Amino acid sequence: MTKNTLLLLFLSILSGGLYSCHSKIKADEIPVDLCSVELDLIDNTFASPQLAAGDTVEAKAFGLRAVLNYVYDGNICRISPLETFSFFPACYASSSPDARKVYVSTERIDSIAIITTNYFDAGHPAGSNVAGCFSVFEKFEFHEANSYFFGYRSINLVSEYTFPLKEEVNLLLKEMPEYSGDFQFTIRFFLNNGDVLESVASQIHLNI
Amino acid sequence: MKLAVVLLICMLSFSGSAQTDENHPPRFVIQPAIGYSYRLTDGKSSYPVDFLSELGRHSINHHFFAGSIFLSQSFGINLKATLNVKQYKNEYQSKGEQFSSFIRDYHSPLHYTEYDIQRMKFYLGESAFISLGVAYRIIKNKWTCQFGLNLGGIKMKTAGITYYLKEHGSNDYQSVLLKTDMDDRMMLSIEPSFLLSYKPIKRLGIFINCSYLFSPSKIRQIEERTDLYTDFRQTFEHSAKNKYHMIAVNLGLSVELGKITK
Repeated sequence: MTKNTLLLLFLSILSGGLYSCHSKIKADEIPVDLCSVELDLIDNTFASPQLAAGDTVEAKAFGLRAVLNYVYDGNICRISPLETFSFFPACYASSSPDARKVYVSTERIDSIAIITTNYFDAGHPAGSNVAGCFSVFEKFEFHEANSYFFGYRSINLVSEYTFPLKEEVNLLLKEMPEYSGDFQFTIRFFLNNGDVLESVASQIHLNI
Repeated sequence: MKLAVVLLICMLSFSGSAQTDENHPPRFVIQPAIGYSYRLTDGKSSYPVDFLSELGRHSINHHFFAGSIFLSQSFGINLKATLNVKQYKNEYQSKGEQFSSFIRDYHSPLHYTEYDIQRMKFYLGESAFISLGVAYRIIKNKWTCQFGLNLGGIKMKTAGITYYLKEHGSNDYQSVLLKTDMDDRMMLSIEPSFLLSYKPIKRLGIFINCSYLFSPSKIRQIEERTDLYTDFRQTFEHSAKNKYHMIAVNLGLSVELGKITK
C-alpha cells in the first residue's frame, strides 16, 4: 500500500513537472490572451494584399485576412475600451511593450476551418470547409493554414502599441472555385480549451 | 607577417653568397605578390542576370605565388597560382539600389519585385587561377624585365542573387535566383604579363607586375525561377554578352636561387 502510494505520488509529481515544463512560458516571452478574431476580404491584384475596395475581386487574386485580437495575460478581454468604461483605467493599461521579447498566446489553436456558405466546387459543397483551398502567405513562404496556426507559436503583432494587440494573417486563395459567383466565408478557430472563435466576412463576388 | 619573416630569412641567408650578375643569372625565382585587379566588361546588357558582371569589378585581394625555372639565361618556365577575392560590403547600398531599380523596370508591368538590399552585402566572389607558361627575361645590372605568357584554368565561386516576383492580378509568387555557370566548371585562361624587378640586395628584389587575364570561354548566365507554392522550377539561360577578362597590378618580392653558368 505504501509502495503504491509512493509510486502514485512520484508519477503525479513527474507528470505535473513534465506538463509544467511543456506549457511553461519562457522568461523572455510575453503571454497574451486571444480574445477574438475578425475576418476581412483582401484583393492581391497589386504589389501586396489590400483590403478589398469593392464587392468584386478576381478569384486568382482573392484572399482572406484573419485578424486575431490579443490582450496581455490577465487583462480584461475587450474589443474596445470605450465599450467598457471603467473608473479603474489601469485595467486596460498594458505593461510597457518590449520589442526584444517574443509574444506567445496562452491559448493553443487546435485547428481552423473556413466555411463557405455557397457551392465552391464538386469537392466543397455549400457549408463545407474550404481551409485547404487557402494558404497562409508570410515572408515569401506559403504555409498550410492548420499547420501555421497549430500549437505553440510566437505571434507577429502588427503593433505593440494598439489595443487590443493585433495579429494579421493573410490567407491567399490558391484553389479556384468552379464558377464565378457570390461567396461568403466564415472562419472558425478551435482552441484547445474548447472555445471556438468565429468571424463572418462580408459577401464578395469572385470572378473566374 | 609569416611571409615577411620567411622572406627576411631568405634574404639574410643569401646575402653572403656570390653576387649574381648578368653572366650568371639565377636559375630559380620565387615571386609572391599582392595586388589589385579590375574586371573589364563588354558593355551593359538588358538582362538582370548580366547585372552580376557589374558587381565587384574592383578587388584589392588579387594575390599570386609564382615560381620560375630558367633553362637558359633568358627563357624559362613559369608556374603561377592566383587567388582573387571580391567583397561588396562597401558598395552594397548603391549596388543594391541600382539592382532593385533595374529589376523593377525589367519585370514591370507583369510582375512586382521584392529585393532585400541587405543581401547585396553578402555577395561574394572568389576566383582561383592556376597556370603554366613561358617567361623571357632581360637582365641589365640590377634591373630585370620579364615577359610572360601563361595558360591555365580559372575556377570561380560566386553567390547568386535572389529576389522575388509577384504576378500582377494573382496570388502567384516566384523566387528568382541569378547565377553564372562558372561555378560548375574550370575555364581556360590566358595571361600575358610584364614584370619589372629591381634587386637592391643580392638574391632579393622587388617587382611590379602587370597582367591581362582573360578567358575565351563563353559565360552562361542562368536564371532560376521557382514557384513558391508548387516548388516548380524553371531554368533560363541567356547567352553571355560578357567575357571574363581583367587587368591586374601586383607588387611583390623576387627571391633568387641558384645560378646559370655558361
